[in-house]
Amino acid sequence: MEENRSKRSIRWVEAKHQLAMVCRNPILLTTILVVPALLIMFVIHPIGQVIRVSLTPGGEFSLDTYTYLLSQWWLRQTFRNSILLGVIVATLGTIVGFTFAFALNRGDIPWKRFFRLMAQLPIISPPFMFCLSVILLLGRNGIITKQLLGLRNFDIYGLKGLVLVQTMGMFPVAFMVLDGVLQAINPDLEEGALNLGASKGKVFWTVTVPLCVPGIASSWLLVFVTSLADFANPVVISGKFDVLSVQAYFQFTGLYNMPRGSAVAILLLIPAMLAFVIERYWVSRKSYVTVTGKPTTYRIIGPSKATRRVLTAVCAVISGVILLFYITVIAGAFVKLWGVDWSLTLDHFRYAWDVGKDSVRSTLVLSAWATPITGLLGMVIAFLLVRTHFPGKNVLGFTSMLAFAVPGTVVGIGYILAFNQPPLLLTGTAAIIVLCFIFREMPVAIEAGVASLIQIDPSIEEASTNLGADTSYTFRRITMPLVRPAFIAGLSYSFVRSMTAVSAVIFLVSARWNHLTSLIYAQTEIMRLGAASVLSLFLIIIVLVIFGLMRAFLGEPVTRVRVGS
Amino acid sequence: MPIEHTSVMLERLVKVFTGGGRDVVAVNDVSLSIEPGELVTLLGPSGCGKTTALRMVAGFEAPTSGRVFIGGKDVTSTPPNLRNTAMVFQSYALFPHMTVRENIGYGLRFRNVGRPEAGEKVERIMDLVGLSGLGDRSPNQLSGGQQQRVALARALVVEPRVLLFDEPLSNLDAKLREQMRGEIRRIQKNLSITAVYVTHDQNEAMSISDRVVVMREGQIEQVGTPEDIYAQPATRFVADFVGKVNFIPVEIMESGEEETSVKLFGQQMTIPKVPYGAGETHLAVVRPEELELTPADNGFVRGEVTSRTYLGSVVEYDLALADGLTLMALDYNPKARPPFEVGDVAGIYFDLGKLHLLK
Ligand SMILES: Nc1ncnc2c1ncn2[C@@H]1O[C@H](COP(=O)(O)OP(=O)(O)O)[C@@H](O)[C@H]1O
Ligand SMILES: [Mg+2]
Repeated sequence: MEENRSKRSIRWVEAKHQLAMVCRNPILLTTILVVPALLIMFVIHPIGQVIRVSLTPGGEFSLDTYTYLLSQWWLRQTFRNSILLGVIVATLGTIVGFTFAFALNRGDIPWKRFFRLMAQLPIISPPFMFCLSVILLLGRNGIITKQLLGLRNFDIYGLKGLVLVQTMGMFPVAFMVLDGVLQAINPDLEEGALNLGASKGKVFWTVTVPLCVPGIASSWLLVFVTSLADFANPVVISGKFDVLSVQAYFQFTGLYNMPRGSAVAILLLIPAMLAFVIERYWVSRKSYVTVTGKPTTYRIIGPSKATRRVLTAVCAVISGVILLFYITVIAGAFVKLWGVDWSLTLDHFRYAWDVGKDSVRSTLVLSAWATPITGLLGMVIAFLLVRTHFPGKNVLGFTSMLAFAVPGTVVGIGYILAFNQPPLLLTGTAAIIVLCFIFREMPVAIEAGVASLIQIDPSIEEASTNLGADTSYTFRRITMPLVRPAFIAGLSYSFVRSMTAVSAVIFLVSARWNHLTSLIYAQTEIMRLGAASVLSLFLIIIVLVIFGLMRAFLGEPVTRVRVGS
Repeated sequence: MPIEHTSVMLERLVKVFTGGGRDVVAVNDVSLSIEPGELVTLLGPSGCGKTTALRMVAGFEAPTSGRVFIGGKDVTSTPPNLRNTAMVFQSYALFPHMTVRENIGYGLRFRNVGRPEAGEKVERIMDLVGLSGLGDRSPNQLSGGQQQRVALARALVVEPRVLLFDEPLSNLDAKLREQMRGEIRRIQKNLSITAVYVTHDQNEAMSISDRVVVMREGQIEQVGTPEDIYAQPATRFVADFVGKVNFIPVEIMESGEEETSVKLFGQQMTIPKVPYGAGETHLAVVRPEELELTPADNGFVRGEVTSRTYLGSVVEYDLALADGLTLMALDYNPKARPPFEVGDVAGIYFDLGKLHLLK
């Protein structure tokens, strides 16, 4: 007891010195105070509002909404559907992602660069684009279903359509995780087993796969969360297969039932958070792989000829489908009336430009605001997390990553509820959208920053402080130039996400500040698939052009860098 | 260069690292007073808390308790950028995106030095450390030794009140290390800057320091001049750490006015008076180079040569005594005497007049 108390008072002395040092560094102090305030305001508070509204349907606290939800079989079904979809897509996506990662890292297959590109393309593809293609290919007037196969009653809407588009759109999440894992596994381990006399197949199942297990679990959970939170695909193609994100949207904006919409959103939030927390605090801890940052150059143990053929075939088929999706959308933009009148026209472009030019402009403006702020704030938080000491740092870390796990639907509803009255009356403004982008996309910028900072010898920054620079000068003149590649990676990512956001922004758009994705959704709704195709093309072209510009002016975005001296 | 003469004082410094559910006491109640212009070395095995102590002087770590004074002023709560210390890091910590000149001039940006004057200072310091003509290079175009010089120049140019070194030479090869330590010593003496130097290499500590502080597990074992530390180590740990050593048990018989009679190798002998009581046994610290090997009939005791290693400037002998003790002897002038071979029996002799006994 006595010892504990003296220990605590000693800690207190240390905290006092820390605090005193921080206090003599006004900019650092301000940052340490302002950043948590922002996170509380724009991450915690909106979620709190969703929970509050779901629990106070008549102004008083009551569980009525939840009792109702759980008593309705069709709502229980909605919940089950979301989980079922998540499980299927997570499983398929992980299998495809692993196949690509394995083929590219160990498979010794041809056209590696092409396959790698294909495995990353879906990430920057506009939402709705894959559904659009699937409808054009396999829908009632689909070129495959109606023209080629002459099927009358084929219905792509529902679970199978969703599984198809989500798997194609989300396997890259698994690919990126497993690609990193396979790159980091020292092939000597595999070779060692081979030298000990194990067959190639045996090495795969007893060495490679077990080493990848944490990575596989990670990617499964991440794809699961992504599928669960997806709004764009189900809202277009789910048909009668109702899922939570769409249900919450309709309850909220269609039926104006805010408590029920909020409660459905919470039902969505719970499994997503669960999966995220398991991934973060359990699976990632179990990782046997230490990322050294050194790219491994090694001799590949080539798999057998048959295996190589299978791997190549799988990669080729998946890549072919992705390409086909792209070609279909491009074709859709030029065809007069898909399935009926195949003559070529520029009408869709004219129309799309008419209805879309304002949205293009406002989408660009919104992204242009959100991108640099996200990148900078992400880097500042990464810096605070890695390089400074202050009480409550862990809470800050958790909160800033929270936005990652929260489905966009929940965030959108939260923002509407939280910022619809003075002093923070933001409904209908650009600010509400920009803020939403910033705090939703920041986790990736933070992750990139943290990953880069922990590889930079901290004594470089200490040297700067030691020579007389304060923390903010050090951050600007030393840290930022050193983490530049990660910073650019963060910028690129948040730009793409701002351009392709749907699930949260759909709640926040207004006549004045519309977003291209919400316009594409509206056009798809009224079955103007040609116009929707054109708008999707606009979007992907803008993304690619800005990517090119960023690359030209800012340099190569690389997430893993090594800096030392 | 006018450099302020500054003292440094550590007062009962403690640093406990928490984390991983376990506390690590890195520095445990360290008090030390460093005179202006003095170079004091913290010497000890890896993990004994040297770096942590140094970082508390620089201000990178806040002490768990205790205080740090620089120039008589309590700086315990002063942030590092306002302490006017300058550190030479083990990794050099050069700014990779700046040229050599920009690296060296960096600290002057915060010191109200006009541009032309700053430029002059940088050139002058580059001359001093032997970097003339390399100003426009990038640090990664330099050799390890040159990078080391940039780190040193960058620290010197700001005319710090205290220079701090954290194992600055550990990344250099042996030859360069010796050369650089000579230069560091020369520059530090010329400018008479107060300096704290951390190393785990006893040769480096011996050759460079005014005083050496031997640390062990976060605590100070002994503070003294290099001669003191080597010849009069306070503890067995210090004796062992600062060089090769033989520990020979000595039993105190009785003390007279000026002499003490002792039992050594089972024989009664007299040594200059030591303040220990009769009947106690103490270890004598005898360095291997103090042992003289003579033909078997001479010396205090006989030992059989169990190994002989020829190292060029010196020959190293291991000797086994009849009572089980093993001793090491170094012969720095092997040509002067006929060598002993393995299996030979030698007489062992050493000067009892300066025998140092541990407590
Ligand atoms: N930032 C830290 N967090 C936790 N433990 C630390 C930290 N820095 C040093 N230590 C621990 O404190 C002890 C002393 O370390 P250090 O001062 O670096 O020793 P030295 O420089 O003498 O090798 C070691 O046990 C080390 O593991
Ligand atoms: Mg050290």
